[in-house]
Amino acid sequence: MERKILIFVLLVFLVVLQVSALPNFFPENSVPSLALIIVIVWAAKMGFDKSWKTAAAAGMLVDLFSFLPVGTNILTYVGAVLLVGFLAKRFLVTHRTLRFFVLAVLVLAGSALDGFLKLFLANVFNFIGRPEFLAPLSFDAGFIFKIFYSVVLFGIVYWPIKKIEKFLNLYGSRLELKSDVK
Amino acid sequence: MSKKILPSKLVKLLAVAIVCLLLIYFNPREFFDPVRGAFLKITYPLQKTFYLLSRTVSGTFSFLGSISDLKRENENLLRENNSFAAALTLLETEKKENEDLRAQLDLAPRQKFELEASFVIGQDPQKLGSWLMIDKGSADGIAKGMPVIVYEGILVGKISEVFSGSSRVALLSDAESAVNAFDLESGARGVLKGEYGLGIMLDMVSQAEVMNAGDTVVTSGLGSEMPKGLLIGKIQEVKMTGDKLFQQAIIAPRIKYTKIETLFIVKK
Repeated sequence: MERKILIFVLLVFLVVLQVSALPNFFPENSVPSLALIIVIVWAAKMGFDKSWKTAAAAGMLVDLFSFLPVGTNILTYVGAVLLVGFLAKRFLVTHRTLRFFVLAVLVLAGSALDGFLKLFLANVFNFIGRPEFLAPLSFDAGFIFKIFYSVVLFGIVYWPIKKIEKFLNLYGSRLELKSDVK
Repeated sequence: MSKKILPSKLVKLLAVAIVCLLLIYFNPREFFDPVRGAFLKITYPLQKTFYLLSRTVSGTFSFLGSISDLKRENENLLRENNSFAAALTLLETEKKENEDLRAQLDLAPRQKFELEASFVIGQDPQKLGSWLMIDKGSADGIAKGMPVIVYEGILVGKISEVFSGSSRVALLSDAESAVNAFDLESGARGVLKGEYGLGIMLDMVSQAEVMNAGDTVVTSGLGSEMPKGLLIGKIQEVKMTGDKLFQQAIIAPRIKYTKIETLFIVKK
């Protein structure tokens, strides 16, 4: 329970950082999502079942702080986590020595899916006459750059994420399972 | 042996998708706004610190990156300074003329407003709707609909949501934004609309009206809390609507909204 509270506080911190600080460093329309990156990394290491609730919480916080209709980022983050969980099972185990690069590719895939889902949602809601909720998005250079910047940001926060994981003892439960098998 | 019809992951995803789509469609703001307000209140100091700190850091980086250009810029500035000195004499006479015109058009003098200064503490990370978060809220007497200007009476938007210690400013480029405005030179009236954070457009201008590129657009003060005579920008291009019923003008704003640091809320 204590760990869950700590994770939630950490997500709030990251989302505030994302909303307040990142727009000052990245060009318009291409600001990457810090919360999504951390959620993707955890999904890659823990799998979909253990990370989808964290993804939903992160999505909800981003929606609240970005003044978007609540549900938008929850859906896209959970979708991205499902894809990353699926891909990680196949690639992260077989390429353990290239962990950083595999994770970078997973961040790229997850961010791309998040972007495409948002694009789809925005256009569907615009099509059915609810543009006041989500402005129409377009597949442009900003869209591509956002994915690219997500990978760059992942490179910057990779080591801090590892420290946070150690502090939160995120994978402690897995070790306990192993000792049970003995 | 029993076999699950749907894998549990798919069931979870479907459940999340259905709930989220319903939430987006019905958008129960009255339920989520208090939650949003509480989060904004709790994280306000953090938000302000992050914003100001990141602004300073990014400013330092851009300064360091521009050092090589400084010499060339300095020479250009000296050259420009000489030409400005000559233009100043001309402007002095135009200033007098401008004051006379403002008096004739009954435009609100800038000093008349009761202004509340505020700092920007956040901005739209998605750049979809274009908004800014400011550090003044209902505790400072800020109310929904109040116009927001920058130092020289240039309109940037209006207050769209108010929380106790912060407020959201919907910029003129926001899709929800609609302000009555007119062409100062020709008097053509229309409605200023945002283009999903991409720009501003003076819409619904009658075909009989005349608008030219370069004309100044100001608020008309009709039917809202918006005072008359707040500067918006200059007309960049004039075109007809798709159905040929009205004219539209693309407006070039006087300032870059993403670079704003200090704002003034017009309280009265």
